[in-house]
This record gives sequence, C-alpha cells and structure tokens, in this order.
Amino acid sequence: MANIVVLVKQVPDTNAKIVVSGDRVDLSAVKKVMSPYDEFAVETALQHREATGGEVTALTLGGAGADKVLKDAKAIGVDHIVRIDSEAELDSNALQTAITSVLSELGAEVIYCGKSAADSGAGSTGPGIAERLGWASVSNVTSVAFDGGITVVAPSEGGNARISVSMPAVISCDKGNIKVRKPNVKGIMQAKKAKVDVKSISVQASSVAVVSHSMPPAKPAGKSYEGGAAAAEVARLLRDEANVI
Amino acid sequence: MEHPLSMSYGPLPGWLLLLVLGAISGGFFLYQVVKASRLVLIGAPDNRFDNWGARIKEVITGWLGQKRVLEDRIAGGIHVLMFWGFLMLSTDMFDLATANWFSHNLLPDVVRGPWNLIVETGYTIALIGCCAALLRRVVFTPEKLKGKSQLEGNFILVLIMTITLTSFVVEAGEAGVSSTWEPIGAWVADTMSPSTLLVVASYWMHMLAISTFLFLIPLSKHMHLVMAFPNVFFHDMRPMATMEPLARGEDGKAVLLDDLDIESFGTVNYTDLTWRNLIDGWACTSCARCQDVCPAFQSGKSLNPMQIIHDVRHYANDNSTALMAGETPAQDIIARFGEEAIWACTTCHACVEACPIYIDHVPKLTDARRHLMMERMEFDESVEETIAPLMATIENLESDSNPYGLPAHERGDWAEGLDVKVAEPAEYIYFAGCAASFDERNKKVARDTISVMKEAGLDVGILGMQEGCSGDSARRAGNEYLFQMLAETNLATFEEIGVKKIVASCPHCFHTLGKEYKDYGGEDIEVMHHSQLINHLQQEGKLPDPKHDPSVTFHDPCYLGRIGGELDAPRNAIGGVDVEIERHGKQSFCCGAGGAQMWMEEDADQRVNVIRAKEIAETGAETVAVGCPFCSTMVSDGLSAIDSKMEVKDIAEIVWEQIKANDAAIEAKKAAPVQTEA
Ligand code: SF4
Ligand code: SF4
Ligand code: SF4
Repeated sequence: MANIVVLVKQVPDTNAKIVVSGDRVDLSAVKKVMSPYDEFAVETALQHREATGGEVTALTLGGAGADKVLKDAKAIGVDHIVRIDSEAELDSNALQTAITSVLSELGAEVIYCGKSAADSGAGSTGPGIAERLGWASVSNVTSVAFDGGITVVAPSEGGNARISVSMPAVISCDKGNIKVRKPNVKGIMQAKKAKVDVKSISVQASSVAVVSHSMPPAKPAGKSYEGGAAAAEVARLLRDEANVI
Repeated sequence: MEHPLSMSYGPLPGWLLLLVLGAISGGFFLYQVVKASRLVLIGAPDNRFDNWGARIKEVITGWLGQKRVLEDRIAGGIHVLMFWGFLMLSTDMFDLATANWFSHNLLPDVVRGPWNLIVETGYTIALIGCCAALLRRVVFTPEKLKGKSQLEGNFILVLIMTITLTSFVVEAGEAGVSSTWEPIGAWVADTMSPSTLLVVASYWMHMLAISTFLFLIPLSKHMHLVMAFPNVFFHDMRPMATMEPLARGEDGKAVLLDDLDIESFGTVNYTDLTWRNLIDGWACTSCARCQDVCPAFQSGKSLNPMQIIHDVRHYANDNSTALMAGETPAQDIIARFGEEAIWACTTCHACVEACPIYIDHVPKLTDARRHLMMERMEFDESVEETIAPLMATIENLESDSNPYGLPAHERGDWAEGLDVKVAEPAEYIYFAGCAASFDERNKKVARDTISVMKEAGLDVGILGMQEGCSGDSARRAGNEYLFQMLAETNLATFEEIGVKKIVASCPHCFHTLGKEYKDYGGEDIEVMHHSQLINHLQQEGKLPDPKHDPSVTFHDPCYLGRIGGELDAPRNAIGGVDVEIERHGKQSFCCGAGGAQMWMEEDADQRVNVIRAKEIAETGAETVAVGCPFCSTMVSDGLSAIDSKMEVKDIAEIVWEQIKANDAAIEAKKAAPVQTEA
C-alpha cells in the first residue's frame, strides 16, 4: 500500500499556434492540455497502485482553469485530485516550495512527475522537490517495474541504467515505452462530477521573473539540390552552414 | 348435406375434433406470440406513441397498401395478391369453424351475398398469387434464392394452395351456392358435383392446413404476418439516419453534456436494444432485399443486414429462459452480431430504404459501436487492423477538431486570398467541413463554391478557424460523447456569430448540421447543400442557366440523395444528366466512405469503391459529377484502381467552370466588333 502522488501541469496544446502579442505569449485562444510527459507519470503512478495497492493523488498548481487536467487524470483512474490555488506566475523556487509543503500534508511516499513541462521545459520540479524533501530522486525514467521494490530504467551516458530505488522517492518520467491508457466516456463523465480538493496556501515571492517573450526567428526556407553536380556544394553547406559534418 | 362439423366420426363428433385441433394449433400459436411479445417488451424504452395521424397514414399506405413491398414489381405483386387475398378470406375461417353460423345467423341477409363474393375473390387471388410464387421459386429461381433450402417457403405455399383449393370444394358442397356471389363454387358444383365424401375430406384438409399454418407461423419467417403491422405502425418517423442522442430531457431535447448523468453507453446486451428495435427480428420476411443492396455484403465483408435482423430473433430464442427471467446470457449481443460485421457498415441506409416492412438495421450496429467506443474500448482481434486508423482519427478529432490531425488554426487557410468574411455575420455561412478545409483536392471545391456564391452577389462568410468538425464521423463511429462535444461547440459558435443560413458542400455536414443538430439547439438555422443553393440561384436568374453536357453522369451521395431526399438539385445545377448510373437516385450505391469507413482500413479485395467505380465507368460518360468530398476521394481512387480515365468533378467545380467559360465568351464577344472595325 503506497500513498502515491503524481504532479501534473496544464500547458498550451503542443499543436496550437503560439502568438506573442506585446511582449507576452497570448494564450487566451489556446487550448490547454496535460503536459505530455505528465501523462506518462500518471500512467506509471496508476501501474504502481495496481502492483502494490494504495491510492494515487494527482496534484497541480494553478487557478480554477487548471482543474481540467486534474479531471483528465481522474478520468483514467486516479483516486484524488488536489489543486494548490494560485494564479500567480511563480519561479521554480517558489513553485517547488509550495508543492513540497502540500506534499508533506498529503503524506506522500512516492512522487511521480513528467521529466519536464512542455511549455517551460526546465525539468527542475522533480529534482527540486526531492532536494527539499531530502528524498531519493531519479530522472528521465523510461520504464518502471514493481517487483517488491521499484526498479527503473533511465538513460546513462551511452546506454541505459537499471536502478533500484527505495522509497520515499521522486521519479520523473520520460516517454519510454509506457503506453498511456485512454479514458472511456464513463470515466470522463464521472471525472466531470468529481470534486477538486482546493488548497489555499501562502506562496513565497518569486525571485526571478520573465521580462518578455519573443518568437524564435523564422526558419529560412529550405534549399534543394538535384543531381551529382551539386554534391560538392551540398557538402560545403553541410559543413560550413549546418555544421553537421 | 349435413355440415362436416355436425357429422360424427366414429364415437367423436366433428365439433369436438375441430375443438381439439383448434385448441392445439391455436394454443401453440398464441403461446408463441405471447412469448415473442414478451421477448420484445423486455427491450429498452422508446416513445413511439406520438404522431398518431402520420402513423395511421403509414399503416394504410405501407402495410395495407404494400407501398414498399411493391418496389419489387414481381415479388411485390405476388405478395400483394396473397396478402389481400388473405385479408379478404380471413372471416371465412369463422364461418367454417362455426358450421356457417357466422354467415347465416350473424350476417344480415343483404350482406351475405357480397360477403361471399369477397371471400371467394380472396381465395381466388390468393391462389393465383400462390401459384405465381411457386413458379418464381421453382422455375424462375432468383439468384438470391438459389442454393438455399426452399423447403419451408415451398411447403407454406403448398399449404396455402391447399387452403384455397379445398375452400372451393367446400363451397360447392354448401346448399344453395349462388352463381352470382360464388361463381367458382357454383361452377365446381355444376361441373364436378363433388360427393359428400370429397366435401367432408376437403373440409378437414382445409382445417388441417390452417392448423398447420398456425403452427408454422411463429416458427418461421411467416411471423411477419403478426409482427409486420406493429413494425410499420411504430416505425421511426424522424428523418432517415437521424441518430438518437445519449439522453433526452422532458422537453424532448437532448440533455447537454454538462447535465448528462448516465452510467452505460450503447448496446451490449439484448435488452439494451429498444423494444421497437427488437420487433424487427420477428417482423423480417427474409426477402433479402437488404442483403442485395448492402455495399458491405456485396463487397464480401462479413456484414449481412438480414443476418443482423435474424440474429436478434435467434439470440432471443436461444436465450429465452434467461432473458425472460431477467438474467444476462453469457454471450452478449455484440458477440452474436460479430465485431467485423459491426464495423463494416457504411450507414448508407440502402437496407433501410429497401426493406418492405420498415426494419431499422443501422441503429443496432451503431448502438453496438457506441458501447465498444465509449465503454468497452477494447476490440476484437479480428477488427484491430480495421479500427487502428479510426482510433487515431478520433484522437485527432478530440485534439484538433478534424480527422487529419492538422492544426485547428489552419482550418480557414484554404480561403486565403478570397474576398470572404471570416467569422463575422453574413447572410450565408459556408461551412466547409474538414475535407474541404484540409484535403488539397477538396480545397478547390470550397474555393469554387465561394466563387459561385459571390458571382451570384450573395453576402457570404466562413467560420475560418472557429469552424469545427460537424461530428458526423465521430457519431457514426460510436463516439457519441465526442460528437456531442463537437456539436455543442459549433452551435455555440453559430450563436455567437449569429448564423442563420448554412451552406455545406459535404452531405454528411448537410445531414448532421441540418437534421441532427436540431436536437441540441440552433432550431431555426437553415442548412442547405451547395447544389440546392446553386440550383436555386440559377432558377432565380442570379446565376447563368447551366449548360447541358451529355458526357456527364452523376453519383448520388447517400447522405444527399437517399438520406437527404435531394435528387434533382444536383442534376439541375449541372444542366441535367442524360446517362444515369444503373443504381442511382434513392437506389444509389454507396462509395464506401460513410459511417466513418473513410477512416478505417478496408481489405484490398473487398473495396466498395471499386464496385461503384465499375458501375460508373459502365455509363461510358467522360465525367462523373459528385456532391460529396468523400465520394470524390473514394470514386477517384476506385476509378484509378480499374484504370479508368474518367474525370471526377464536384458540382461546384462544374458550375464555376461553366461560369468562367461563359464570362470568357462574353469578353470575347465584346472584343470581337472592335477587331472587325479595325
Ligand atoms: S447501412 Fe448500408 S452498409 Fe450498413 S447494413 Fe445497411 S446497406 Fe449495409
Ligand atoms: S430486414 Fe427487411 S429487407 Fe431485409 S430480409 Fe428482412 S424484411 Fe427483407
Ligand atoms: S461518402 Fe458519399 S456515397 Fe459515400 S457514404 Fe457518404 S454520401 Fe454515401
């Protein structure tokens, strides 16, 4: 029996068109979804519960709009859904502190999260929380086995490492070969009715702040070459411009 | 002579013999009818007690008038003879069973004569019908009847023949047979003067034949004698192919997603089917008309709509004890239908159109899909490959509101450079649909449609990236939840922008937006197919008259023709069609894309579009006009599979080409005099 917590984050749909207006990304018209790596974390958490028994709580931080990702997690089978109520834009430090305090309150024994969020891509939340809790931490895990304890596979330089992890631990999940289960409509409908446990806590001030967003420079149009005669030119471009050879 | 009923046979009086015979056969018949009714009434509820006037009218034309039966002239004509014959002769059974008490004591003298005439005519036409039927079965056997056991059908015909022939002899034996009212009976009396023994023997053969018939009715397809009537009376009065929402509120409207509270989805058990769906099983006459027109069956897939209907009844009979005890049999009805069959249907509704007694084949399949898609979410191995691409499509619909998985914000890009309002109020909103928004070939159709509409001076807009999939594919694939989400989203957009008139170039959007959305809102939005609008504009003189082109034929899309009821507009819009494809109009044969088949994997040797392409190529026409983006893709692929060089063009493309050619001609004319003067 384990008290399992999985951290989920709401991000703009990875397929959506991002527009910057003023010097901020304008997300008003963009659909929000669960960050893809978090989906692997939820799936792994559910597999953990199925192997050992226990309960899974999905935890997020955000305004009421973020309830949707919790309900998505509920639809595929987590037991409880909790949101730390905060509309503020937090830096990693403030965010991890806030989450850590609620994790202790929830009595978490093992924590799963995505290796990084699809929007910020920092990848600091898992290790940061482990640091604060003083727990074991494994990152970018591609598969997890529950054979009495927890054995994970994570990439190491030039190959993979099988690592045995003892609880309490924070495990951040990569894509790997985990197949995420899909909710059925019954699950979705029940999730819609589920109540979100909202925690209001005081969040410390951020020490860094985003000054502005800007679009990456447009990619130059591709060039195409035909015939053997162009080979030397292509080789030159690959070497001097693309720096791949 | 004494009536055979009043005679004694050894120690037994005739009436006692008849009583025993009647009690056994009548009792068995009643027992079976009650059993079948119970097996029907355990079905899910369905309110079919509305609209009495229209229902009665349909019974008069469809049941009494045999409207649909007569669609097959020969078999239908034969059936009408027997059906009407039996209706006319039916009261004679009372008369014979009561030793003429009915006609002599109950009927007033003045009607006795005409009554006799009606009865005799009944026997006569039933006999003619019966002989013709035997001839058709035995001598001119139609293809679909070959190779199957004809014993049951032929035996019943022999029974009917016995009933009719013996009746004439019995008549001839009655005292005072009138040559005015019973000419045949009188003729038999005159020419054969049948002996008492022959009359008595005929009487008992007659009664025995009727009793045997009573035995066989509930055990055979002849149960339709009992069940066809309720089947016609309670048939679905809504427009064809309009699917039922997940739940309806008290106002009859669909319950919106936010208020939905249901535990199970679709059909997995026999009792999940509505009672009206269940009657079908007993009403079926096994005429196989549905099988003959089914594209899935004709292309060699494991779906036979007739078999689905038979499955309902056979399943009920096989599991009757459990079902009537309220238990759930081990094998569910999905397993009986078979998942391969369930996923092969194109929802073209050719079967429904063909069925003489208003059987609804499609909901059984789509309801099973609902269960598989929304609840079980596991599929039989036999369909895994078929389903895999469909599942990807569903995911795309969920995330991007289009089946291709292309970014939703690119939805309106096809209209770039066209001077058209985007997501703002306009008199006509052109709803492009997914295919015309994203598929290269069909984008041109969208652009040409806009050009034509603008040529007519209409105030036209599109919804651009605010448009979403109509949800047709999701709905036919069984994902009703997703369909409703898409419908509610689109309806909210329509309301926000104040949409009043929608023009669709996709018949699936035309059907879904026009008929199915009404359950969810937007009741006063008018939805038309682009061919209807174009035809209307031509008639009003806002567009030039179409040019007749004898080298063009037309493929009726199921969702426009048979289901949408629009056969003329697309033909008129392109100036009329001289060479029709053999199966056209309401009898058109599906291209194979409907029912979300567009997104499923089809075995290369079972392709519906190849069958259709061959039929199209047989016309010898140079161009086939279409009015559906999916037909366009399917027919094009089919034609290239058979190496045909025929061109496939949408109605809008043809019309726009004609307009451009027309304009060019006018320009040339304007330019011409200048040249001559010079
Ligand atoms: S709807 Fe079309 S494909 Fe489906 S069973 Fe009927 S005829 Fe066959
Ligand atoms: S379902 Fe209708 S069309 Fe098909 S065999 Fe039965 S009666 Fe005939
Ligand atoms: S794509 Fe066309 S022919 Fe095919 S099912 Fe739809 S309307 Fe019918």
